[in-house]
Amino acid sequence: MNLDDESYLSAYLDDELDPADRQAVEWSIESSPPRADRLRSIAQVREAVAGLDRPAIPRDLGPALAAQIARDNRFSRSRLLIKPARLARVASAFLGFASIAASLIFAIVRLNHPLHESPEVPVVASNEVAPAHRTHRIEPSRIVEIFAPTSPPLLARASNPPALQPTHELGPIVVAPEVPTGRDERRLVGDMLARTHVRRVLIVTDMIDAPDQVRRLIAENGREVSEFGRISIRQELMIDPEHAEAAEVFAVPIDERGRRSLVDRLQQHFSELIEEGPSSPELVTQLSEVGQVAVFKGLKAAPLGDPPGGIPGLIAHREPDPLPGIFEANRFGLTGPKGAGLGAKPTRAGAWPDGFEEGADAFVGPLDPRRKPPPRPGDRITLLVWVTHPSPR
Amino acid sequence: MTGCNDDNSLILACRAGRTEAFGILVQRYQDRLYPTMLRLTGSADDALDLLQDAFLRAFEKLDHFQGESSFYTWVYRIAVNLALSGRRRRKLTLRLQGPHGETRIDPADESSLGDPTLPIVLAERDEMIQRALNSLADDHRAVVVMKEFDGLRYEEIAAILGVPVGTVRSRLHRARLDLRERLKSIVLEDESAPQPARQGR
Repeated sequence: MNLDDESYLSAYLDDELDPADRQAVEWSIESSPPRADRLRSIAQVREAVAGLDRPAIPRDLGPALAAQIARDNRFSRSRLLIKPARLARVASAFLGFASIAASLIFAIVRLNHPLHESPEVPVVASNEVAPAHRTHRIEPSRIVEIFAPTSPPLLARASNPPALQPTHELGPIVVAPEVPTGRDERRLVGDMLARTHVRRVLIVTDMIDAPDQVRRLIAENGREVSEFGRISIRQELMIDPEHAEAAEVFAVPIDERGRRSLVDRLQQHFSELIEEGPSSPELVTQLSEVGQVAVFKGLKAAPLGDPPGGIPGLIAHREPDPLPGIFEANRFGLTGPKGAGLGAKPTRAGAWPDGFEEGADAFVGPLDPRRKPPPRPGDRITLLVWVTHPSPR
Repeated sequence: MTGCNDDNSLILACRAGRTEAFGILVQRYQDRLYPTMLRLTGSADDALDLLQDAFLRAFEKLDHFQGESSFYTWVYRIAVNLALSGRRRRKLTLRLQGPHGETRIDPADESSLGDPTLPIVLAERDEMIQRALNSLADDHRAVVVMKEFDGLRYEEIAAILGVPVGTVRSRLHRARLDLRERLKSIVLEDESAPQPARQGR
């Protein structure tokens, strides 16, 4: 150590030296009174600055900044998020035409698969992403855990900070392709197989009774497809805004026969990694872990039964008010078709009706699949496929 | 505070369009950040401007926040770098000039540096130290404030500024020597202070 460089004195004061250098500085101080004086004066300067007053901020910036962000188009995140009012509108529209029944989670597929085999159907490749080959292996045991009945409550896991972590591995989006009518499932499979850089695929089948409306929604605005995906599963489910473009969502009106055909085809290619299970709160956990969704609300979710006088099949959940004093007015906001509220109120004794708990303000998930018979051949359903891409990093 | 009111939950809420959640984040950290910004800028008004800019920048970049550091650390980093950015300096320069470019305040006149309200807010000693800080080069002042005022380690400062640790050490030492010259009266007053001991953070 060159003791002529007196920056070591500062480093010594700041305890930023290793033991050997520290000892050398101490020796030099002891042997050089002028150096000891310099050290003392530096320490005094140091203490003078450290002792500066720390005045409180003269005005609260929070409300003003929040208001500015809300009204300023520069901060519009329209592509990344659904504003609550819009979400309510879209959700309401869907609830109006779709008596939703969730059904199956099929697959989490690692598509590191060398896709050399020719797709059986024409490839829709015009909107492929740039190559990005990092893949993420899904441990089979993890999949089992996700779908195990004893798995932790979905929202508890989804609300954990680590739920944010997987997202940074995700990469760019491929704009949700327009899925043409007819032979949809075959085109979808072909498209998936053509995407060699896909990290995971998660397939959900929703039972929608209004396929024409779904189709129109897709045709009118391809970007709505992802919104369709999120609200069809759970109103509070959303594509992770940080990586809204890391996923593409295919939405295909399809019938049960087509669905089976698709599943069979996927199993041919990705047989080891396909899982099937009922749509449930675990789905949200799964999506969160994939990194495609962020679940803001709730600590737990459980099927609690029909709300009294409400919409059969809907379930509610408890959640602590995440932002006390701010969302109280909306505690029962996103409820029911056409803006009708669930109307749940506590009894005089303070208890909540079956199906509700205090703080429940939204439907937790899709219709309880147990309440509807499984789709039959010819039933129109809608297939949603989340495809996530690996990070190019 | 509920489990849903932690920073990550609020960030998710922001991403979901709930700007009120960002307001809460601002309220949570503005008091911690403001003194640092005040010391970096030397002016209450500039500190508020800087802090607002930093929070707005943070909101704009919220999609890039990956939770690898705390939200506070992330915003702190944004604010410090904003304070050091050329854009910020230009803004401050413009403020010093009248509508026709004339200089309204002579930056060379130390007695007029900083906000006119500063003497009201700060004690005389603080004012003197602040003026000495203001006289430092921006990058030196930033290192001093981060080290002395906020107690960051060299490594943390280096990460925020994107410079080697050795650069932090040398800048800090030079800044301290410079301050020592400018604060002779304080240093002399305190000459009877006990022998300094090594101090950690």
